[in-house]
Amino acid sequence: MNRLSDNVAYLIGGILLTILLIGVNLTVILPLMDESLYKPSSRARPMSATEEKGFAIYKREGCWYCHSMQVRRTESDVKLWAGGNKELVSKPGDYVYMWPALWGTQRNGPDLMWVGSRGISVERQVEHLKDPRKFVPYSNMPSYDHLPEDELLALAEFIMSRKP
Amino acid sequence: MPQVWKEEGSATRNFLISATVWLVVAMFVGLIAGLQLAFPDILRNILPESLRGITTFGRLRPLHTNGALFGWLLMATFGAHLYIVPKLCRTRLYSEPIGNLTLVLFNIAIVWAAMALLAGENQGKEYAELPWSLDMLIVVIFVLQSINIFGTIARRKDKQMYVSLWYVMASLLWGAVVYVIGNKIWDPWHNGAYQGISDAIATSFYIHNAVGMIFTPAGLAVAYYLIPLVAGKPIYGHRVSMAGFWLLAIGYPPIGVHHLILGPIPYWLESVSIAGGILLIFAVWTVLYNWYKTMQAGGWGRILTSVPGKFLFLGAIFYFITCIEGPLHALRTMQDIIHFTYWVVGHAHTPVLGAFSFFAWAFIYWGLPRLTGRMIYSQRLAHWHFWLTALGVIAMTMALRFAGVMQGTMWVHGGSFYSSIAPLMTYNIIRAISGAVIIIGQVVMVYNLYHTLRSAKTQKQTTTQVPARAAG
Ligand code: HEM
Ligand code: HEM
Repeated sequence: MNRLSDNVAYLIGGILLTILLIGVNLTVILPLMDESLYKPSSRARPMSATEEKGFAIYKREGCWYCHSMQVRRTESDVKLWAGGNKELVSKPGDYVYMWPALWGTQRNGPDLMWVGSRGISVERQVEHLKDPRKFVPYSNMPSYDHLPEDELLALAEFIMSRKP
Repeated sequence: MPQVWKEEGSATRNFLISATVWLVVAMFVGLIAGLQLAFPDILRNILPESLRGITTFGRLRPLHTNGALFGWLLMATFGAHLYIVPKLCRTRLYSEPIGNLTLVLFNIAIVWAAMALLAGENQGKEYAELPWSLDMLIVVIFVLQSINIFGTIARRKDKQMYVSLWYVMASLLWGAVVYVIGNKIWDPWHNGAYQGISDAIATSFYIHNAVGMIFTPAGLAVAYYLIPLVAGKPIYGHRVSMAGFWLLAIGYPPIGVHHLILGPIPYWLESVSIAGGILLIFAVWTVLYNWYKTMQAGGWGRILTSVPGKFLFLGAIFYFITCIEGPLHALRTMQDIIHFTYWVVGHAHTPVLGAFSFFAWAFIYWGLPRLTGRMIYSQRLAHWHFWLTALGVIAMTMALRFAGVMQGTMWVHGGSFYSSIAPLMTYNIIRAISGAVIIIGQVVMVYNLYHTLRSAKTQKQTTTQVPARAAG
């Protein structure tokens, strides 16, 4: 009796894991094996050393909790973040050089997928990082004037590299 | 080994006490983070220069989410399981010292995680921010907890497998797989990242299955255990329980990718995740129907006058709301509007701060007297805790939803993005006020529990007593 019910427990455990693994296969492993998701798009560029440094700071400071880097294919996203150009909707290949892809969770601030093409200079970006409310009076972004100058510069370089 | 490590019920009691401490800390951090969204310079004006770098929104947010999810919710439910499982098996906990050791490691992990996050160690993956070395420690904690739970179940004297036990075992089994994939723990060299967009896919699998396949079954186990006891009636239907369990098991695994709907992923993958969500409507309804019938059989007067009963009742309603909302806002038309808005934050808090924390509080008020042989110091204060928390959570989550709809529609119909920021002030202030009300509620609880634990023993400890016939 004891043996039987113990075996049933193993069986059930096995079924539970199997179902989970089917889900994992379908929604994680299969996409992981999809080569087309790794093919760099025409606008994907490897990061320079400074941009890498900036990217690390972007991760460290948690900029990505408030800024997405993802233009969805919806009308409003195309209008607000791609200047109406459907070509600029994010594609899988845009992210191949980003470990990890910082696709975003909230938009407490604007999307930054193509922020580098908005005609702002690196110097202005640094100034904005130091005092965001100088540019947008009701901005909710923290001031980063406590960061050393070289880090601010790297961060700005990384931001500016986000362009098609 | 010192006696305190072996004392029966000590592990659960210690888990609940530590979890409560982390709860208050995490909520406070959440409040500060939220306040910064309304008044970005609020800390800047108070804190010395040296502390400003570690208190920006971007540093505090992961501290809040990890602290609340792992430090409070996971710790509290782990503690509850160490009580529930032996009860339902009519045996003792496999090892009280292992339970206490798990807790010591757990607390080390949380303190270490908090320091790492404040110092800016961040992998750039939501809920998977922690570095690889800490992932390893968390794996050890999961393994120790599993040894204790499965060890107890293996020695069970009651051959009936109650549904709570199924959920507890599932949360550990699934939790292990989900955590391993989400944090890519076999690869210490890439900070947990997969390449390119496949990382987004794996991370979103992790994000929603951490909540769906760890916190959900862990919390449902607690509710399934308590509801029949508070109602004084057995669970309405064993078959219904099983149906709910298996539907959850089938529905959850594929839905994670719904964080990327309309984004840069294959279309079919979006559709799979949407379909999984729809299936979950049925999973949740069977569970709730079962609870409803059980509570009804016990009599509403009985449920709604006791403190654990109140928490269970409102918690179930929060669970219902989230799980109706979830599948609906996963639809592409809804995603267009609410994705990236405060709505999602409202959706996120309803189950974790609403439903599952409510179940954990119900367990605290139910379990602590039985574990320690001491009556809850003040029932009145316990009711106050309930009402302050309930009002705060309702106000906060509803305000966030309104804000989200406003943001979303302004992005679709309005002019510039920036015009949607200023109107958020109102909602951020509501969040701050309701958050403060919730925190006051927790302070009331802490005061009450402190006096409970300090009071003299008035009743027999009931740790080894045979439970009333519980879940079906
Ligand atoms: C006083 C209570 C609380 C307050 C004031 C609060 C505040 C906040 C704030 C300000 C955020 C950031 C939102 C954003 O990025 O825009 C947040 C996120 C979050 N909080 Fe809380 N929180 C509270 C309690 C809790 C509790 C108890 C839990 C879990 C048990 C929790 C879990 C989360 C989660 C999972 C997120 C991430 C949401 C998302 O990504 O959409 N919170 N909270
Ligand atoms: C039927 C079940 C559910 C479905 C179909 C569902 C669906 C969703 C969807 C589509 C999102 C993404 C929204 C967006 O970003 O636009 C989301 C976010 C979220 N859900 Fe659920 N949900 C369900 C139940 C739950 C439960 C039970 C929990 C908690 C235990 C939960 C916790 C969260 C959290 C924390 C987030 C925010 C994650 C983030 O911001 O990255 N959900 N849910």
